[in-house]
Formats: sequence, C-alpha cells, structure tokens
Amino acid sequence: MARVPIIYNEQDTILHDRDPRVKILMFVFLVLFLYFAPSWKWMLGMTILGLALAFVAQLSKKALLVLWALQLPNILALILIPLIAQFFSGDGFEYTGRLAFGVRLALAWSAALFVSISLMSTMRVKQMADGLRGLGLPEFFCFAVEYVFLLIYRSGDDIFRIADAMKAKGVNLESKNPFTIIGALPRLMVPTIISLLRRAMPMMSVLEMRGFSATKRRKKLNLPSIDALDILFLLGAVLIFLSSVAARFGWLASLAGTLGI
Amino acid sequence: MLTINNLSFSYPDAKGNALKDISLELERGRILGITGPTGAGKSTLCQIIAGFAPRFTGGNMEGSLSVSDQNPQDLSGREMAKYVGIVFADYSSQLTQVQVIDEVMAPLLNQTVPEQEARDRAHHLLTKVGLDPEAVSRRRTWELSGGQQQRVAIAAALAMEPELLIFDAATGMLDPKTQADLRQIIHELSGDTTLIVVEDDVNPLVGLADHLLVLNDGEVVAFGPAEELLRDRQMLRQTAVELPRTIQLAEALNLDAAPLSVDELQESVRNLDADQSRLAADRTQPDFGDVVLEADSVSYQYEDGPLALDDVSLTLCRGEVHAVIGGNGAGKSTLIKLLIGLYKPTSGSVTVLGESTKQQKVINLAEQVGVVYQNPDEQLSERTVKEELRFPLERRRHRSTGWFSKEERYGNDYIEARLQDAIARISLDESLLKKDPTALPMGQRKLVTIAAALMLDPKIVLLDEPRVSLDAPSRDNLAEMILQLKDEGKSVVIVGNDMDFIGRVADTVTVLREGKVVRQDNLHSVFNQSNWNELEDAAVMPPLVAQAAQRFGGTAMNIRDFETVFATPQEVA
Repeated sequence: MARVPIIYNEQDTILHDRDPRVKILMFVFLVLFLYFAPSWKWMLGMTILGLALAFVAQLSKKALLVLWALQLPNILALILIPLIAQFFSGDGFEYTGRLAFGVRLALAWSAALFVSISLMSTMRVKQMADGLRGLGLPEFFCFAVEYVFLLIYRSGDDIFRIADAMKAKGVNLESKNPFTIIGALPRLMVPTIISLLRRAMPMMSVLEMRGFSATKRRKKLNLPSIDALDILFLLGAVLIFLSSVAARFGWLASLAGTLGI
Repeated sequence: MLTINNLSFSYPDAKGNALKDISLELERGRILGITGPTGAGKSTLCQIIAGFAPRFTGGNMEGSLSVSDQNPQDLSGREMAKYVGIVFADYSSQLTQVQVIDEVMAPLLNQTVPEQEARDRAHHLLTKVGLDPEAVSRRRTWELSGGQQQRVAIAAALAMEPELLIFDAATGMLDPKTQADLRQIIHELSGDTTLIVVEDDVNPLVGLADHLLVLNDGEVVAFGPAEELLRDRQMLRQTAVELPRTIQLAEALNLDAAPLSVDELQESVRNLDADQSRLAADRTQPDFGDVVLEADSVSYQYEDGPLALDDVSLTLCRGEVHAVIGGNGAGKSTLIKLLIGLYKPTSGSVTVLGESTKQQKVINLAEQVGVVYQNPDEQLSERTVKEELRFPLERRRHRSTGWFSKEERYGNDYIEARLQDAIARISLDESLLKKDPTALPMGQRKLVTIAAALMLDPKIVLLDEPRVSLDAPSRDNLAEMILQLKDEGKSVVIVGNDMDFIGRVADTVTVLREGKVVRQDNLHSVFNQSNWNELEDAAVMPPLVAQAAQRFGGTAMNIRDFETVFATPQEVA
C-alpha cells in the first residue's frame, strides 16, 4: 500500500501554508548560503536551521534519520578522506587545511539535506510545478519537473509489484544475506527499466489528453496570494544569505570592527 | 463526426499492416461498438483516432481521418483532448497523479475551472463512477484496486468532456454493478457525445451499441447496425467472436431464433419444461479431495491503510475450482497475495499443503502455488516468450549442496517438456515463442503469464482476473485449461468479474464485500435466486444464464447445464 515513498508530507503547518514561490526562493537562497558560508560554524548553524525547519514542517524523525543515514557514507567520506590524506602527508590530525574543508563540506551536505527536505516536503508536485511557473521559469522546465516526479512516483509502485512477481518467479529477494539480495538485484533492474520506458510514453500521452502541455502554459495558475508572513520568511532567507556573502568577503568583520563589536 | 477513409497503418519494423484500408463514417451522438479477436487492430484504430498513433508509437499511416472536422495528426495532444478522450485497458498506465482527487481535478484545472468548482465536479464524477469521494479522494492512486483505478481513469476522462469518448476494453476490470452503471453513463452521454466502446466480448455491446464494427487481422469484416450484426451467427463465428449469450442459449435449445435479450428468448419459446433432476448431482453437490490450502480467520491491514480483509476463512481442496468474487476494492486481490505468501496475515493464518505461509519464502511457496496477477506487465521480464516461460525453472535449475557444490534439479529435456505442456494447455501459438513478450497485445501477454504460472507444475493455481483482455477462443481455452487442471487433481482459485465464466468453471464461491465474507458455498447455492439481492449489495450479479434459467423456472449456471435442464422446447412459429 504505502510502500512508495513520496516527498510530500501531509501536515498542516505554517510552512505548508506558505506560497510555493516563496519556499522555492527560500530554498535557493539557503542553498546559495552554503556556497558562501566561510566556516564550519556557519554550516553548523545552517544544519541546525534545517533541523528547525524540519521540526516546524512536522517531518517524521524516523524519515529524517533514514535519509541522513543514507547520506552517511558520503558524509564520512568527506571527513575521512582529507583526514587520512592529511595524516599521511605528515600534518597529523590537526584541524586545518584539508580536514577543515572536509568538515565544512560534510556539514554543508547535512544542511542541504535538512533544508531541502523540510521545504520540499511541504509542497505537492502540482504546487511545486506551479511555484516554478509563478517564478516565470520556462514551461518546458516546469512541466519536466512535474512529469519526472509523477513518473518516479508511479514507477515506484511498479518496482514493488515487479519485485513481488519476481519472488514468485524464482528470484531470491527475501534472503537475509545482503550479498544474495545484491546478486538478485540485476534481475529486478531489467523489468524495472522496461516498465519505466513502457510507462513514460503512455503517461506523456495521457497527460496531454488531460490538458497538460510541455510548451503552452495554463492561463490560470493555482497559487495563493503572497501574504505578510510569506514576505517575512523570504526576507529571513535573504538576510541569512546576505550575511554569508558579507562574512565571505570580510564585510561582516569590517562592520563589526566599525561598530566596535 | 468521425470519418475514416481507406486508413492503413503499420508499426515500425512490423512485417504487415496493423490496419488495412479501413473506411467508416459515424454520426455525432452515436455509440459504435468495436469487436474482434486479439490482434485484430481494435486498439490501434483507437490510438489513431485519439491521435496517439503514429505520434507516440511511430509507424506509417495512409488514408485520411477526421474527428469533428479535425485531423488528429494536425493537432497537438492538448488541442486534440477537446475532441477525443480515451480510457484504455491498462488501468495503471493512465493514472498520472499522486492523489485520486488530483487525477480527476487536473483536467478541470487545466481547462481553467476554478479550484473549488473543479473539486466539486471531481467529487461528483467520482460518485458517478461508483467511488465514495470521502473515502478515496486523498488516497494515492496506486493504492486502489485495479477496478477502482479503472473507475478513476473513467472519471478523469469524463472530466475532459470530449466530443468523442473511447472506452478501449476498459470495462473488464469493473465489477458487474459498475459495468451496469457505466452502461447507464454511456447511454446518458450518447446524443451529445459520440462514443466508441471496444470489447473482446460482444455481450457488453448488446443493447448498448448503435453500430458495430467487426475487425479481424486489421481488416473490416463487417460494419453496420449493431442489432443486425450481433445476430449474424455466421459472420461472428467466422471472425472467432463469441456469439451473444442469449443466442448461445437459443442454440442450446435448438432454436433458430437469434435473440439479443432474455425477453426476446422468452418470446421465441412457446413451452419450456425444466427438469432439474437431469443435472448430475456432482454439479450441485461437488465432492473433493484433501484440503490443500486453508485461510483461517485471516485479517489484513495495509500499513497506514484500511483493513483490507476482515476475518476471512477459506478452504480449498484437491480438485476444487474456487471463485472469489465481489465488488472492486472488496479485497479479492489482497486475498490472492496472502495465499501466495506475499503478504503475511495481520491476524489468522494461511496454510498451504499443511504448512503456514508465515515462515515460508514466496520463492519456495511458488513451487506449489502458481500465480497469475491482474496486470501481466508486472510479471514479464525476459526478452522472448520462450525465455519468459523457461525462467521459473531456469532459476531453480540447480540446488545448492554445499559452499561450492550444486546438483541439477531440472534438466533441459524436462524444462522443454514443461514448456510444451504449458503452451499446449493454453493453446499459445508457437510462433510467439521468439517474440518479445512485452510487445505483444494485452491478451497474448496475459496468456504468456498464464502459461508461465504452469511451468513449475504447481498443485494450486491462483488466477487473478485471468479472463480480462482475452478473445473468445482464448477464453474457451482458459476454461478448458481450468477444467483440465481440476480433472488432474489440481486446485484453482479464480478471481473474476465475468459471472458467466465463473458459472462455467467454478465449483465453490466466496463472495467478499468490503473485506468480509458475505457468502461462501457451492456455486449453485451462492447464485440461488434467494441470494440475488444480497449479491447485488456486494456489487455482483448472477450469471446471465442463471437469470434466463430462472425466467423459465429452472436453475442453471452455464450453457451446458441450461441445455441439460430444459427439455426440447416448442418454438414460436
């Protein structure tokens, strides 16, 4: 039944109520922040903000933990590779250079995950696509985003059904031995890809039949009007981003010096 | 409204034409029925009318076509949607949205209908196709049963309000009550909307279609008034199309008449004596062997979902054909998945050949229990039909006897013998063996999965909607196969919506309604006239043969029984 994971989290929160355009812009500014933030402390701050947004969006702790655990190999690699490289180059385990960069990147990775999942989980596919349309992005791009999400979701169910059928056909997908499962996965891959390809074309034709178009924009978008709280959220994201830019180029330090802080 | 002149079409890389020199004209507001055997070109014609072919399929088209004075090839898909809508057999591929309500609202929103109005209209359309909007609106489309998904697809197609609406083999997955409701919807739409209804089985077209187009091998066999063509026994037989059931009943009574309704049949007969004693006792009180499968007070609840089955018990014996019937979403397919061990009961137990399924893997259970799912595309994975059929035995060809040793369980000769046996049982054309199974027409894909389910020579066979999309000869072969399995002492569980097919093959029946057993008994008892109201509440109708037999004061579940029970009649001059 609910085997297919979807990004949207059915809740009624202050973040869910925000205009999709605002959430997309917040996402852009907060991700840009990660490119400008000068130190691990800034990254840690954004990670905490991401977690706070996840809390506000009432995301399940279990889902968040699973998603973070899936990224753990990347996060560990970002720290361990520079650490090992630094050690063998004779710089020991001091927190400088490559290690500092690795830690910053690892924290940025986590922050990006928490921020994106918190904001994106509050938008249905349709809202997300209309948000992009509302921001004036080309219709082809907006339609492609909507189509790809829908295709992935619909195909997700196909994959589970194919896996069920493959079990009966003799593919051992129930083994407790992970190597057996890994060995059996290629058997699942072929019908999954066939299924994805088979679904892609009829889905495109059905979408057209239901009045969707990859090139021609709908006259009326289903977007709410932007309210004061939307503006407040957006301003907050812009300020956070600007502060990282200021910190990166030393303007924040100059300002602090001028103010004698 | 619809004009087709000398239309021919060939798919890319195909040897012959899928359609050859088709010409027809259809007036606005009419209902055109299209029938013919598998591979006749029915769906291809619909795809061309809807503008999908050759745009999405590729291929070469000759001749001309116009729908409401528009050429589908000159319009974009979105523009074409105003003129033509289509609902096709593959229910899952025509649902595109996450939530049910979005599926029906999206076409309305795309026509700039205000959101609240679109929501209200979507609720109305869901109700119209027999779904409770409150119960299903927020559910994910893929969580619904096959029949419910088909209903959502119909509601979404109705939302577009096209000038021409095509139902391409779209009713097979619907329960009998919804099929009847859909007939009513089609009748209501006709006049304003032009409708094309494609069916492998002519019976749903009787009393519905104004005109009939009979196709075979891409060519027009007949086109004309439905009432006239549906009575043309010779033409229908030559095209391998099953005769309307009432005509079959008339033939069983040696009547020359070709009635298209039970009323007409009754008018053709002056006197008909029912002699129930002629029906062999084993048809009404069957006797079976040992229990091979048992579901004991099984309940099943989906994670975050509704209670799909509630305290269901079922016993299947050796040599028994047991039918599970009920409305869409009643829990029939869930029950099949519990019986094969894919789902483990939330409470209660399922026992196969004396062992609980709880601790068993599906891969092992499948050696005793063959299964055919509703949608053949879930099961097909190999490049050729031959590889597909060999697959279950090839995967089990060797048994591990140690870390680095194995022994052969199935040799090449055995696998080949099983393959020949499986294709012979279902009369699968040997020329298909080298073909890509995923590229075959729906009916043939279904036959391949049925044959594949027999490859392991299972003691129990579970068939979920096996009859859907099969043409008349394949349906006959399927019925014969089931009865042959029964004679060999195998046991069969069949889920289906065609009650006449159930009446032909089943010994015992379980009727499910909202996950609960409302009746469970032998075929004759379940379809006894005293239960008809209860069956209707469960979205089930008795076989047409049973309805006709009741009209003549007897009881019969299939044509053979009908022939046996009723004495030679006197025909009205």
